[in-house]
Amino acid sequence: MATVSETSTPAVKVKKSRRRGGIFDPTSILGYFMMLPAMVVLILFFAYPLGFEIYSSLTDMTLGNDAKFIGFDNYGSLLADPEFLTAAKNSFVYVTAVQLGKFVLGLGIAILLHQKLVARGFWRAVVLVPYAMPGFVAYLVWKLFYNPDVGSLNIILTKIGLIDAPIAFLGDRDWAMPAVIFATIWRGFPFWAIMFLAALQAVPKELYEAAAVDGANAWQRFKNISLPGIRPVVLVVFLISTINTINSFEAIWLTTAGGPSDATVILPIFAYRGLTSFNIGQSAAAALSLVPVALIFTYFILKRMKKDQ
Amino acid sequence: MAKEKGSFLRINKKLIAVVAALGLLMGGTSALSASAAEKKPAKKTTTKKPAAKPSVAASPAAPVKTAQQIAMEKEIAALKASGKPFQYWVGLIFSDIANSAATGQILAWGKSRGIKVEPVLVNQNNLAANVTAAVAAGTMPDALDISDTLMLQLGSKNLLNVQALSNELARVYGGWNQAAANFDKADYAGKGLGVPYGISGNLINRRLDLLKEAGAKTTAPKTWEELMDSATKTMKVGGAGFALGNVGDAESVFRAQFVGYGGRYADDAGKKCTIDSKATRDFLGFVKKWYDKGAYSPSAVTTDGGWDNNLYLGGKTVFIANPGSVYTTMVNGSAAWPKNPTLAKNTGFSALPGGPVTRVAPSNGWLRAVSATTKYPELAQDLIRYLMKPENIDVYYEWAIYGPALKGYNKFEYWDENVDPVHGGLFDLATAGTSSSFPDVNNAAYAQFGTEFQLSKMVQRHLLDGDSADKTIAEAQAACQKIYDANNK
Repeated sequence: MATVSETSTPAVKVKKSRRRGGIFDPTSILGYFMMLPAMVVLILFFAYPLGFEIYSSLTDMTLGNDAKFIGFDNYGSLLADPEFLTAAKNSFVYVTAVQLGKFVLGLGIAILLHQKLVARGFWRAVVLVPYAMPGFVAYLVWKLFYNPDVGSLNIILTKIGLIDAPIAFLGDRDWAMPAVIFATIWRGFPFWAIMFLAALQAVPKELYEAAAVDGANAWQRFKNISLPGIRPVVLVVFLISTINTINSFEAIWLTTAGGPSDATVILPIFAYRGLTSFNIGQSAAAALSLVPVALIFTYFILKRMKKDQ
Repeated sequence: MAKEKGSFLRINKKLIAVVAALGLLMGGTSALSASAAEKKPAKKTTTKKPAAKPSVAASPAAPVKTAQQIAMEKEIAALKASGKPFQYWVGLIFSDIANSAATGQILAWGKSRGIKVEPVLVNQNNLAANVTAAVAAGTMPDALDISDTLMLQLGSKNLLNVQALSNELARVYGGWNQAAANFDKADYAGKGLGVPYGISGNLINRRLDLLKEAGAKTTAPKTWEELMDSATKTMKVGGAGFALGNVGDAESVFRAQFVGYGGRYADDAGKKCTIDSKATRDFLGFVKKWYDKGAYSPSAVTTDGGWDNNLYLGGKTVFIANPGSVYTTMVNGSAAWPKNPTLAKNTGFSALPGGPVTRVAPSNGWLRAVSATTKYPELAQDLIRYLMKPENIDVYYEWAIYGPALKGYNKFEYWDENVDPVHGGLFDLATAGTSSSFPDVNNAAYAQFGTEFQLSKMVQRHLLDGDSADKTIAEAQAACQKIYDANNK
């Protein structure tokens, strides 16, 4: 019967196909049943917390008081709060610089590791070390490294005569953000490098050989073959990493805790501070304030990926 | 207030001599015991270690009404039927021994009641975040150790009133010491929401050897100016280990200095903020002056709660303000630091210095509270009653960094400064210290102002961001009024 239907007119085919896929189809019900555990997990661990967060952001919830619905007042007061605006600005600077740094360093290292190096496997493993380290260890090591009293960076810079007196890299307004950005790039670039390396290895060698025969130089081969070849991977990595960086907390919390003053306060730190001072409603609004930005960003990246496909 | 080691020795010699003479004249030990209840004794009179098994029925606090017993039996049955443990959050402090003592006692109590208990150690620095999350998620423990500020903010909506238990303990154990009595005053907003068990507060630890080497005064600094002057003279060996960032250590030291310069957050009604004042300008001027002179460590602005402790234990600073955990570590060692009796010997302890207007010895309280969501309120109070028994709290106090809450605990020998200088200081704090909120009204707004590190933020804006004192103070005043208005709705 199925064979007959499939060879019938397209209209009939569509109708039958719909019937087979309907929600009351025994196969569909079984399918829903099989999906149920995953749906329950999603609702419990994703939809409920998100819903609760959104609800909280629309109330004046604090620790000792009943929550009253106040509409978008929390969002309004955030926009009038200079600390929030500073955190938003810092977040933009931090995410942009970190992502740019990871891209440049990741791509550079990936190209290097793609070459025929001595002990290439060893170097590929070494590159992964920062990423393989637990985050808190990595950032506490950086904190120690930057320390003006006992940190090795100051000792090195003083010994080679670049500075006369130790610099409080994490304690100085001008240095703190660049120092944290550098530490974050160091920790995150291996993921980019390894992903780019895998993508580079998937680009057919024949393309490079043909380009070389046509007289293309290294830059032209990179620009016209490598880059287009790895673009889908770049977009995916960019998407995942940017969302992670937007929500990043440990890098700054463990190194500067947002200081000195508000020099490195980013939105997750701002939201956490609100939570520890029991302004649950307002900190929920702060935490959600980046969601539209992340959604718009994700939309454009996905659109670009679809176009590439 | 804590006194100098030398002066304490003198006082104690006199005290011991007087008490001993009285004892001989009276021809018995009863006089000694009576004195011991009021003052620090030369010898400890209680059993050193607690009984391994609790003897709740034999406790002087144990006689409970039949109704309570019935209620507790019902709760025990319900807890057993639920299959879940009774959960208690223990405030994790620096002493591993004290933490073990607390958890061990809770487990022993559970065993005696035939129930499953789960003592959870919660880092005190993270308690606010954990409690906030637990309240939001409806996963508060049955009972918990809690700071006075957090207790105020949780309020009666989240905590049960345990005034009756508090009264009972005060009656049985001789009443509250001065610092703990602050939580029992009729006008205290958190009255009845917790049972005080520990009084904490900062003492100045100073390196006598390094001060001597630098030609600076080795005697206890009487004023903050004097202390910072000595700190600048010892900058090469560390200077002052006072934090400047958004951390409790910074906020508490700034608060003492701020009050010393005559500052206060709000008026007597606890409603109108008074940050915008000459006193605040004087305080900011003081901090700026010494910051510009380099009295603060370069790493002081991005610190965590253990920064100053580690700096001192590592020999990298001369002055710190600490509630006693550093001394405990020097004497007993810890997972991170070996014992260091030499450093302990070279350390002088004294009360916080004063400002030009006043000198305060702020004391904070740690209390045992019962969550409003618990299904086992009688069990929770029974556990608190058990933990507050002298033989149990004796072991805890010996290693913890708290002064005694109840007068009945004043007899333990380690409160004698000659036996242990830090415990001696904590004893003074508990019996003679001022409330940490003094002269402000201790309400939820006061607590929130401190929890948000508003004083530290004000200092940072002036010192690090370069904002003028006027601008900084105006911002702090606005932030303060916003907090007070929100809490006084």
